Amino acid sequence: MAFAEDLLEQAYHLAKREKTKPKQASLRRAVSTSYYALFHLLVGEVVSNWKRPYQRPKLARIFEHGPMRKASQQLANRKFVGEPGSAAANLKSVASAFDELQELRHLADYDESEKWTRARALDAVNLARTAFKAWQAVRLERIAQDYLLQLLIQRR
Amino acid sequence: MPIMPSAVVNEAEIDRRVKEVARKLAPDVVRIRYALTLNSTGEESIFLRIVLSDLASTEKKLPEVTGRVRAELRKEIDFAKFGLYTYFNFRSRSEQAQLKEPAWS
Repeated sequence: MAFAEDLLEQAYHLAKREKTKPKQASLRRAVSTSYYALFHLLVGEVVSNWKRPYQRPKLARIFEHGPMRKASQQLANRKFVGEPGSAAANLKSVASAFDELQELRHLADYDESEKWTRARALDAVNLARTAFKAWQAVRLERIAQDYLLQLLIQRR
Repeated sequence: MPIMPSAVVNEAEIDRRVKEVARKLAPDVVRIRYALTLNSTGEESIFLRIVLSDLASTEKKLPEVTGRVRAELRKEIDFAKFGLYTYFNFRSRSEQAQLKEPAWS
């Protein structure tokens, strides 16, 4: 998942640019890039399950932000029965971070009235970073693989 | 943006619990404001605006503090029960002093 990790590193770099007076453009792009880092991490995980590598880039293009968010919101509010508590907690933190970051991305990219600060941008980067760690801890669990499938098949 | 009836019904309880959490997490948390409104996909949501002390907003402390604030608010307030999606926004005291936005005051 080098691309997703590179995006996360880039988001951090943008959030830290301009030591004393950060530019709104840098902070907004940091927030947006944090979301895209998590988006590409999850899309990469889904398509890595596809057997033929040469078909994966084409498969990756079918993902839509709205349905992925809906799948994530449903999971974040789901009660897991019979699953290890830590696995469920890690997965829920990934799903709720996806929802939260997508909302922040929307504000950062489209709402000119929003004023962004370094703390807020760094929090978005941290949120994505925490989701990356949580994902690494849970990615091989059945509930995580079911989430990946839901990201692929969720309808609007 | 419109305020939703279901959230309005529970607003007094939400308000009380938010204030309790803010008190509990002082001095890292200076204050918490919020807006009950719709998110970008039209769902009832709460947008929390949390002002942190400058010490709590340092790059080193920020991940731990924001993680604790998120966890505490989610523990004390069952936002899903109120039918709300939850979004957290953080700002340091000196950032707010510079921007002077009423919604964060």
